[in-house]
Amino acid sequence: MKRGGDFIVSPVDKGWVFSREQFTEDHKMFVEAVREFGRDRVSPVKEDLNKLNRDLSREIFREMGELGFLGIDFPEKHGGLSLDKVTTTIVAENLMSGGNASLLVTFSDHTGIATLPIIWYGSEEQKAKYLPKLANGEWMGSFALTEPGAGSDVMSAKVTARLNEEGTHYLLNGTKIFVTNGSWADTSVTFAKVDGKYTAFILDKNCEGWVIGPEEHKMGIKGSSTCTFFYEDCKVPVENRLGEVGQGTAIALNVLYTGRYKLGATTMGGSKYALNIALNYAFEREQFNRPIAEFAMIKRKFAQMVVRSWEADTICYITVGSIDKAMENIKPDDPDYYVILQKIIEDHGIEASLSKVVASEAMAYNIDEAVQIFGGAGYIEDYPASVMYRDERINRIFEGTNEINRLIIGSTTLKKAILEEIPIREMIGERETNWIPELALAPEFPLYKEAQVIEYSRSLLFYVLNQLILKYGQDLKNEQWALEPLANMLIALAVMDTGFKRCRLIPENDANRSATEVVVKLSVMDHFEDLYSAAIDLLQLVSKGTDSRVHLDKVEAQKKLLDYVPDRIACQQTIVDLLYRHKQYFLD
Amino acid sequence: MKSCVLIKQVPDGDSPVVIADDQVSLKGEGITWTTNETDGYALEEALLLKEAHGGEVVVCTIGKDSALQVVKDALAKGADRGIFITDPKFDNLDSFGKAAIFAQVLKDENFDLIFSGLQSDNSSNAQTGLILAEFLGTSHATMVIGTEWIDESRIKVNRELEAGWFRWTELDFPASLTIQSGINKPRYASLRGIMLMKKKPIATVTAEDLAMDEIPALSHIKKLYVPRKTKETVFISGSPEEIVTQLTDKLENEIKVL
Ligand SMILES: Cc1cc2nc3c(=O)[nH]c(=O)nc-3n(C[C@H](O)[C@H](O)[C@H](O)COP(=O)(O)OP(=O)(O)OC[C@H]3O[C@@H](n4cnc5c(N)ncnc54)[C@H](O)[C@@H]3O)c2cc1C
Repeated sequence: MKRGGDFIVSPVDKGWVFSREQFTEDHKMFVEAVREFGRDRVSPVKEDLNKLNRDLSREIFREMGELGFLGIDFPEKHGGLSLDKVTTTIVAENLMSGGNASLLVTFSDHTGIATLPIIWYGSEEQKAKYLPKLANGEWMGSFALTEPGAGSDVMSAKVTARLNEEGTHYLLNGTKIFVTNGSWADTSVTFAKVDGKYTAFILDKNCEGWVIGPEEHKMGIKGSSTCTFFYEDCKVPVENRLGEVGQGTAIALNVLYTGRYKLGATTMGGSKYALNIALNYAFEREQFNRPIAEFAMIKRKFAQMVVRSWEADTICYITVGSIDKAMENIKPDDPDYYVILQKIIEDHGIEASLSKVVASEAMAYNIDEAVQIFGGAGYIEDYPASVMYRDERINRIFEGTNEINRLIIGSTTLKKAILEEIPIREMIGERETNWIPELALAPEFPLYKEAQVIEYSRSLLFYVLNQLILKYGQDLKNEQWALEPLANMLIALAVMDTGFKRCRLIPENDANRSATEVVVKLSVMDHFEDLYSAAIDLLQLVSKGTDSRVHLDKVEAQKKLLDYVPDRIACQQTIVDLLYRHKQYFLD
Repeated sequence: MKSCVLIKQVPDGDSPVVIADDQVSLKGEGITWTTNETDGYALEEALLLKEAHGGEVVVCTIGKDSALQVVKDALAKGADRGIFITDPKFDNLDSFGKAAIFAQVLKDENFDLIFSGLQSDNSSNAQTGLILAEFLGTSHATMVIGTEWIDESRIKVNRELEAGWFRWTELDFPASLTIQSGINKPRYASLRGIMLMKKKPIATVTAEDLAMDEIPALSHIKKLYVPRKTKETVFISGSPEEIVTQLTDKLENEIKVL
C-alpha cells in the first residue's frame, strides 16, 4: 500500500502491506519500553487514575513527556523526535498495558488533535513558544471544537471572533462543550467565526475571558477531564491566530483524520487487554469442578476475541505503515514536510476511519464478552471488566461517531472513484465478466480458497457499487440507506484483504505463520458473511419496484463457482488451543 | 570515575518453567527474557553516580545470543558501552566460573566500582560480585541499600544486615558492590535513549579471546527437577511427651532430616 484506498483495487496476490512483523529493532524496543512503563508505573495506580486525580495524572503525564512519548510527532527543533507514525501507534497501543483508559484519553487527545494543529499550521513563533513545553509534558493541550449546536455537524458552529479596535486582539464569544483535558489544559486549539469564516486560534492561560466550566459527570473514562469552555470576550492576541482566517475547517478536518487512526491504536491495544484479563479470570474461576476456560462456549468467545484483536492490529498498522511509506523520501526539514504529510494523511482518510471503526468495534466486542466471561463479577466494580465496559463506550462516539466514519468510508470511496484517484471504474469493467480472476498463487497455497473468496468479494463490491452509481449517481453520498451497507462491505473487504496480505508476508518458517493462517480463515468466514448479506440488501434496494432476480442470479451463480465450505468450529478450536498454551494474546 | 555493571538475563517471573531434556537446563520455548531485577537497581545506582560525579558506565553480561538484549536495554537507559561475553562453552557455569571469566575480561579496564545485583532471580546464589572482588583483589560490600560519594577514591555504603539493622561502611576504590532492590527508582528507557543506543559500542568477547584453558567450577548441576508436592497430613496425638517421642521418631527414621 502507499495510496489510500489501495486495498479496494489491489488483488490479494499483489500489493505490499506493512504489519508489526516488519518492525525495526527500534520499534521492538519501543514496544518493550512502553509496556514496562505501563505495567510498572501506570498499572499499580490505575484505580487512583480513575478518580479524576489531577495531580497524579499530570505527574505521570510529565513523566511520559520526559520519556518522549508525547513528542513523537513533534519536530526535533521544538523538543520532539520527528519519528514515524508507526511509533505513534506503538506507543498508543502499548500504553494500554497500564490498564487505564482515562490516561490514554488524556494522552491521545494531547498528542493528536490538541497539538497537531500547532505542529502543522503554527508559525515559527507559535511553535517555538508552545511546542517544547507541550512535548515534554510541562503543559497539557486540549482541542475545543464541539459546540452545543455543532457536534457531528461541526461546521454549524456559532462561536464568533472579532478584532478589537486596536487590532491587537480577537475577542471570542460563545460556548464549546465536551472539551477533553478541559480543566487541566494549559493551551487549547479552538475555532471561531471571523466574519462568518471559520478560523483556528491557540488559547493559553494568559487569555482573559477564557472561563472553564465544571467537570462533566461521565459514564466512563471518569479519570479524564471533560469541561465546557465559555468565551466571554475572551482576549486572544492576534499572533495566536492559527493559520489564515477561514482555514479553520481545513485544520479541524485534517487533524481529525489523525485523531481517528490514533483512536484505532488505543482501542486495538484495549481489545487485547480485555482479552487477556478475561483469559486470566477464565483460568482461575472454577465451576462444575473445572476452570470455566474449559467450556466450549467460553472457548468460542476467546477464539473470536483473538480474531477481532488481530484484525484491528492489522488495519491499524497497515494504515500508519502506508503513510510512513509514502513519506519515506520526505525529510523532516523539508519546508513542505507538513503540507505533504497532510496530503498523504488525507489521502488515507478511508483507512483512518477504518482503523477507528474496526478497532473500536473490536474493543467493544471483546469487552462485552469479557464482562460475560466474568459472569456476576463482571458487573461488580471491584473487578476490572465493569470499568472497562463503561470506559469503552465513548470510543464509538468521539473522534467522529462510527456512523459519521461509515459515511466517510462510503463517500470517500465514491469520491475516489469519480475523481479516478484509484482505478475503481476500470476494475468495475474488468470484473464484470471475470469475477474470480487467476491468481499468482500456487493452488496448494494454504489460503488459496480464501484468496478466491476475497476476490469474489471484491468483484461483488464492484458489481454492487456500479448498480448504486447507475441508480443514484453522485447523490449516492446522500443516500444513507445505501451508504451504510456499502461502508460495511468496504470494511469487510478491507479486513479480509489486508489480513490476507499481512499473513502472506509472514515467512513460512515463522512460528506465527500457521496460527495466522487459521486466524485469517476465521476472519474471512465472518466478514464474507457480512459482506454478502450487505450486498444482497443493496441489490434489493436498487431493484425496488423491478425484478431483483437478475442481479441475485448472477451473484449466486458466481458464488456457487467458489465452492467455499467454511469449517468454523475447527478453526475456533485451533485458535483457542494456541491461546491457552500461550496464556495471553499471542500474535504480537 | 569508571564503573562497570554486571547484568544477567533471566526468565521473567511469569514464564513457564519447563526442564529441558538434558535435565540441567530449562527449555527456552515460551520464556520471556528480562533483566534480573536487582541488576536494574545496580545499573540505576551507577548511572546516578555518573550523573552526579562524571565518568563512564560500562555494562557487561555473560549469556547466550538473546542476552545481548539486556546490554542494549542498559545502553538505552544511559550506559555508555557494553561488553557481551558469549560462547557455548560458557553455558551453565556456576558463580565461581562466571566470576573467573568476568575477572579475566575486566581486569585491564581498571574500574573504580563494579556493581552487580544482590542475586539473580533464577539461581539466587548471591556470589558472583563477591568472588569477582576476590579475584580482582578489590574491596567489597554486599546487600548495599544506599551509597554516598566521598571522593575520587572512596565511597560510603549502607549495608542491610539482618532483622532490620543497617550499617554504613567506607570502602576504598576499587570496590565491588552488590546492590539490594529498593536502593533507588530505576528509570525507564526513553524513546530517544533507544534511538541513541545503536550508536554505542558493544564489544563481543568469546572463549577464543580469553587466555583461559579451562573454566573453573566449584559446583555442578547434576539434575533439575520440580519439587514433589505431597498432600499427606499425619496427626500425632497423645500427651506432650508421647507427641515428642513420636515426632522425633518420624523426623529421624521416616523423613530422615535429623
Ligand atoms: C467524553 C467526551 C470527550 C470529548 N472530547 C472532545 C474534545 O476534546 N473536543 C471536541 O471538540 N469535542 C469533544 N467531544 C465531542 C464529540 O466529538 C461529539 O460528542 C461527537 O462528535 C458527536 O457529536 P454530538 O455529541 O453532538 O452528537 P450528534 O452529532 O448530535 O449525534 C447524535 C447521533 O446522531 C448521529 N448522527 C449525527 N449526524 C449524522 C449524520 N449526518 N448521519 C447519520 N447519523 C448522524 C450520530 O452518529 C449519533 O449517533 C467529546 C465528547 C465526549 C462525550
